[in-house]
Amino acid sequence: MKLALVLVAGLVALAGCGTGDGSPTTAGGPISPVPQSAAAASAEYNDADVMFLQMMIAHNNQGVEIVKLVQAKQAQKQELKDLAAAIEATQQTENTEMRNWLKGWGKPETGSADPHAHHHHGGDGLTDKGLLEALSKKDGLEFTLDFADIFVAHQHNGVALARTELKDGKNPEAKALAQRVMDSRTGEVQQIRTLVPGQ
Amino acid sequence: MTVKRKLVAAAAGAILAPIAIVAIPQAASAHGYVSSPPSRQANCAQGKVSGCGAIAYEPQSVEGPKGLRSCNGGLPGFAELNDESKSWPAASVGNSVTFNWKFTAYHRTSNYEYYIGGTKIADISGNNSAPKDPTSHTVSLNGFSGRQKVLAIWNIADTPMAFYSCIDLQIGGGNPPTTSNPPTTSNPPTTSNPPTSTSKPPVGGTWAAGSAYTVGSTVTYGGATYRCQLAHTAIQGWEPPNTPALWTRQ
Repeated sequence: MKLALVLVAGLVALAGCGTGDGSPTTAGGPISPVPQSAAAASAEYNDADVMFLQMMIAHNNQGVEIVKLVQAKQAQKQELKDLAAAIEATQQTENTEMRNWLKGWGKPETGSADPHAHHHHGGDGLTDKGLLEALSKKDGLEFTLDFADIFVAHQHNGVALARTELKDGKNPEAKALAQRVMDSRTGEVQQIRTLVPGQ
Repeated sequence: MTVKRKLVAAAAGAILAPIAIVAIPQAASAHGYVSSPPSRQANCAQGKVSGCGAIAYEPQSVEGPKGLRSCNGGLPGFAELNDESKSWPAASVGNSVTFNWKFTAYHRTSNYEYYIGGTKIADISGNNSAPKDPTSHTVSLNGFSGRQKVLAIWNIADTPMAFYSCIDLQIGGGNPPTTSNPPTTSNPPTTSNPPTSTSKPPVGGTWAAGSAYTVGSTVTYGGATYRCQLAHTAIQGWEPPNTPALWTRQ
């Protein structure tokens, strides 16, 4: 109950889109090397594409942080750990790709955090840090259940970012990625529901 | 615990809810869709599926930027086309299927693409010219069985746009699993129309969403072989070419 209120408060706060905190939201440490795709996205893009990439990178960073908790915990199903590892790897690949596109367009990796623009994208979609800290201290079944709650909500927010991109974006590569985000997050949530009791 | 979990869900819903507000797209001028086997928009237009919204009135208008992989061309006003919970009739077909297009505007055409999941099963040139009427393409379904959703894409040569149609098929006979609506087998593909160009062999492969892969196992996808780098259960969106962290091309 207490946690839920923290989350709701966090979501309300997100309307302001965290302009004050310039530090990266991930505590995930250095990104492990992934195959570098040097491919730049085509030159045709709009502001919605840029914002999608910037927000999705931050969202993926936090997603990696969350799934790393699964890998660090004892007594979690191997299937859940495998899924967590695959999510971490695929989201880091996505981030490498998205960073390359932004670089090719001469855009920064983090946005100007225009509150109106973020609001249009449904808030920044990040999960409250207090929730994650509480999660990191749990173990066993309690951890599993809370992880599932938090991560399913987190990935749904990622789907919302992708949906906005499909509606408002222009760049074909970014839109194709948005479609893959929608598909893969949906598949991940389905797998979590089969692996976690009560989901 | 229960209360908390509901609140978490409600909070997630609060974020998603504004996204659900859709804009009805402008009545569009033109264009085209797969008429048989009936695409989702054809089923909506013919009243075989209800609750379709605006698409029932303009099945030819599913126009979006090239490169999308969704049934609605990214148009929120046609979101019903993406709704897998609707009882879409699945047309029964054998090892190949002939798709027939209906056009209301004859744009010069780059090509037509057909996908099942992330697998491109055909890519047919439009020769940079306006489509002939009728246009039909015979596409092999080798390697696929059961209920499948085909995404057909008409890529326009002189605009950045494409037109999208999803067609539900029951491959290899048998009855489609879901749906109170019987498959519309009364209109078999009109095989009397020669395809406007020869379809290429399928470039799918053995990779399949839902399959569990261990490190070292190999699959084929899009004509290439991939070796698994990280144990996982495959899902749509994690096709081998898109996930170099999971798969290494051999």
